[in-house]
This record gives sequence, C-alpha cells and structure tokens, in this order.
Amino acid sequence: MRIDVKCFATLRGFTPDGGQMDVVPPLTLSGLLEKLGVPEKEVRLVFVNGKNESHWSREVQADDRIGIFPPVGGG
Amino acid sequence: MNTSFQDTDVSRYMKNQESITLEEQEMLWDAHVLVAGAGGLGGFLIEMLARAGIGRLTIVDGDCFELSNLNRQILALETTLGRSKAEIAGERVRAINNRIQCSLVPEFLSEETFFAHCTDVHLVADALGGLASHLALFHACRQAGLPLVTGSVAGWTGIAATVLPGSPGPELLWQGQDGEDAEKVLGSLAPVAALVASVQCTEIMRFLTGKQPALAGRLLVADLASMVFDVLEL
Repeated sequence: MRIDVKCFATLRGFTPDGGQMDVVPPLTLSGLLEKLGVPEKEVRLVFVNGKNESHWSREVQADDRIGIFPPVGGG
Repeated sequence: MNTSFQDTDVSRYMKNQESITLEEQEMLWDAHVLVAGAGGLGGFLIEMLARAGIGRLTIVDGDCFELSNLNRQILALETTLGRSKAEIAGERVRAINNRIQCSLVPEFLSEETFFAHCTDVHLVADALGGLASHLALFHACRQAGLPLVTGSVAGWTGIAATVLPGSPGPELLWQGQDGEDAEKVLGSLAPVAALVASVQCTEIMRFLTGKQPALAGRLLVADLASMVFDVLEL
C-alpha cells in the first residue's frame, strides 16, 4: 500500500523520494520510523492525517499522510 | 503614557479599518502583551505588535546583540551590536509610537521574573530560543492561566501554535536537552523568523479582539524549503 511521508527540519533527509513510499502491512508507526532509518529518539511528534498520534504502535493505513518532527526550539 | 485612544489614532490606523474595526483597534490599545525574547522571532513580532497598536508591551530579554544575529534579527544592526536586545526593542517601539507603554526587562526569563512581570498581562508571546526556555514558559503560562502564542524555528522549518488555558500545546516538541534542538544543527533564517512572527502576531490580534485564535490546539507548520504549509491538530 502507498503512504505519504514528510520528515521535517533535521529529519528532512529521511523523506522518501517524492514524499511517497510503498509499504507492506501490517506496519506500525514505530516500524515505519525504523524502515525510514529515522532514530526514534530524535522524533518528538508524529502526525497522521493532520492529527497528533502519540501511539506509535498504531498501524499505518493505505493513503495515510504522515508528518515526522524532531525537537524544534529556535527563536 | 498609555492614554486612551485619541483622534489622531483614527488617521494612524486608517489603513487597518477595512480589516480591523475602530472598536477592535481600541481593544488592541487596551491590551497588555508580554513578549519573551527580542531576537529573531521577537524582533519581528515586537515591530508588528507596535504597529498593530497594542497599547502596552512588556519585553523580556537578557541578551545583547552579536554578529551572528545580523542574518535574521531585525533589531540587530551594526550599530546595535553589544547593546541590550530589550533596550533596543524599547527604542524601536517608542520610535513607532511613543504613547505605547513599554516595560523593558533586560534579564533572562526565569520563573521569578515571569511571575513578577505577568501581572495585568492578557497574553504571553513566546519568542524564546532553546527547548528548555520554551518548555519553562509553557509551564509557567499553564500555572498562571495565561494564553500563550508560541513560535519556533529551525532552518527552513517554522512552527506556530496558540495554547489557551486547558487546550493542548506542542510541548512534546521541546522535550530533550538544548543540544538536541534542530536549530542547533540547522540555524535560523530571516524569512522563516519573519513568517512565524507574522503568524504569531495575527493570532495575538485575533485573541485580543475577541476572536477565536485559528491555531488554538493546533500547530501551523511551514517548510519553506518545499513551500509546504499545514495546520495540524495537537
């Protein structure tokens, strides 16, 4: 199944080409981070379809739109 | 200093009137905003809040301008290097409108300074840098029951959110040591700081004129590298 993924700030380089990737279910958000190569300890917020998702054990669904954020604190 | 709205203010704010009614303009004049930080975000924000006609500003920043601020901080000039950010911000506000009541606090914000200066404040603007500073201000506003309009930046990424008492905030973004902050790696840029400050100013104006802030419990995310903008539910 295909999902949209965008990684922000320092994690930007982990965004898949074209912002989309094909994954095989079942895949949790934690599993997705691992697949992308994003160190989980560097992630602070994950948004799924525009909503903050604190349960990273949640399974990814087809067409999900996922945003991944590291700590951002510059002023 | 901060006398009531005057006849000359009608001319001063003439270009606002199709978007901000005279009654709303008076509400802004009667408002008191504490701006924490007068650097990248704070400089732009203070400029816009003064021009918007906020009648009372408390500006807190213990830092002085240095060479590395010149890339983005509107108040950082070759002529202001080494000088207090709070003092320079005060000079700028007075140059825009000498009737704005401006309290300057050239100290780094601590829990003590915050509670000493938040009396009569209607809203707090978070223009601080550093994960620990954002988090401390977030908790202090929660404790004081004050609304907070926050912003932060890292490279081409900027975020902004409004945290009303009891509503969710983006505090998870500020968990960790300051060294883990994406800004420490990516730095910060003038267009991102100006954009986030603009969003913060707009939210502040909405709140102070009795409107529901558009970002209450939500996070505006801007990635100027890819021109992606999104509003996410916290």
